[in-house]
Amino acid sequence: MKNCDNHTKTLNMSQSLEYIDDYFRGTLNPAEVSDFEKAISSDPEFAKEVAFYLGSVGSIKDALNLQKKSRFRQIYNESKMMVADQLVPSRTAGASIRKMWKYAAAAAVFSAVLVSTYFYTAQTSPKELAEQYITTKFSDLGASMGTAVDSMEAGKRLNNDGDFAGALAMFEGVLAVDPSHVKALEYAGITALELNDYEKALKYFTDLSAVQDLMSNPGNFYTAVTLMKRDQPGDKQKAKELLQLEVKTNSANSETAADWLKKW
Amino acid sequence: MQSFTSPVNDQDFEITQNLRLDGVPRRIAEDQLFRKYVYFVREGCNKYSITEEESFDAYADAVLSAIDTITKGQFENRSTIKTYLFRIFHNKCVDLIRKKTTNKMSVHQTSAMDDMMEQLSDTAKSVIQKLIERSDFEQLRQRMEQLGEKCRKLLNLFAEGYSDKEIAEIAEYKTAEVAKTSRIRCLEKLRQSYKNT
Repeated sequence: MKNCDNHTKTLNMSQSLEYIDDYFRGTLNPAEVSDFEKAISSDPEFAKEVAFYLGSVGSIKDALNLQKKSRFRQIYNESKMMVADQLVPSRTAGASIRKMWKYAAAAAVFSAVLVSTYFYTAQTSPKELAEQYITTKFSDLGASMGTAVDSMEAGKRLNNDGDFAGALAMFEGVLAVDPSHVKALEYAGITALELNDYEKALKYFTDLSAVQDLMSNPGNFYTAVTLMKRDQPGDKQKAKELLQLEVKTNSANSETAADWLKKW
Repeated sequence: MQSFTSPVNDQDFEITQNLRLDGVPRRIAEDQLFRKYVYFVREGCNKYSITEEESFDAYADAVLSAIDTITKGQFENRSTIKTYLFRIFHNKCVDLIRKKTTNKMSVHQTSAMDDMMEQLSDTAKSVIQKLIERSDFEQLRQRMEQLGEKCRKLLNLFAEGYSDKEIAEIAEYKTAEVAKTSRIRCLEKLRQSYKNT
């Protein structure tokens, strides 16, 4: 788009925003860039449009960055704990790790506050809520730092490294031997969900929800998350009913379920 | 997309490629990049005498800034990602020290806005800076929340640094032009609603 000082006065709002967008996208030629910057000084209305553009795009970016930073915080705390595990002599390891756990717990609370603040303030669709939940809760299944490796630990590590197909194969291996293994059902569902294999995720979570006599069973809640993420006709309604059930039964995830229902 | 040759190594190549994708692969690549050079945080504490929290913030901001550049295809592979990232981290630390000593911490301005303003000439920047200081961003954020889901998705993808061509592919628009027009309309809608307050 060709522009000069006076030209900006004849642009309507849409053209003006497109012109500003072109500038920040770096698609204007050097002469147009120079005209653009002169227009900021000479045309107060145009300068206001530029400030609006920067404010809105900047605010959206910051909201996204806040989420990413909370994930980075989690990674940072884990890396600190791993370093402590490797470097601290065994005689003092217990005390140091206890200190680390305190720090990690505080940081986890901080992260949770950040994430929940974001969930509260941003008006998001059920699908987005599910995606945010998956991003923040399922990326780390908390593998132990010991050297002993069994299929469950190997699966968790693969999941944490982002190898969801490998992790799912591990958990399915466990289920082949013990089809009612509660944690394997939960993790197989989570990794299937990370792979967007909704049918499989729903099967594992439904099987999990059918397990009786557990202190806490996230099966129904995870089924709701899967339906929200899949977002096919009828999914939202089914998910809503499951979330309402979570609130009614005061389950471990009832607080999150209640928050989501407020935004429905 | 640019072609990567030496000095970018295989792992860096994989990270930069995956940062151009959407969804889970991108998230994993973001985390990999953060994890790979997380020891910078300790170096920041030692080298610049800043607190661990400040160093973490500077490093996290540096990673976010690098992700933005890579996503936009603007990463010039004249240096390794490590060198590039450390340069940004160094600048963030120096900036932090400068702001602390001159007590120039801005309440309104966000780090993403800071980065975008860098494109402007000094004169233009000073005009915009004054306007931004007078803006009511809380109200702007509230207006944003009232935009439809489609608009918010479009603007989120744009803020993530995707090109209009990539946005068209992800959000299923026929062409990059259509994606761009829709995106501008969403901004216009937001502008109109912000003006009317």
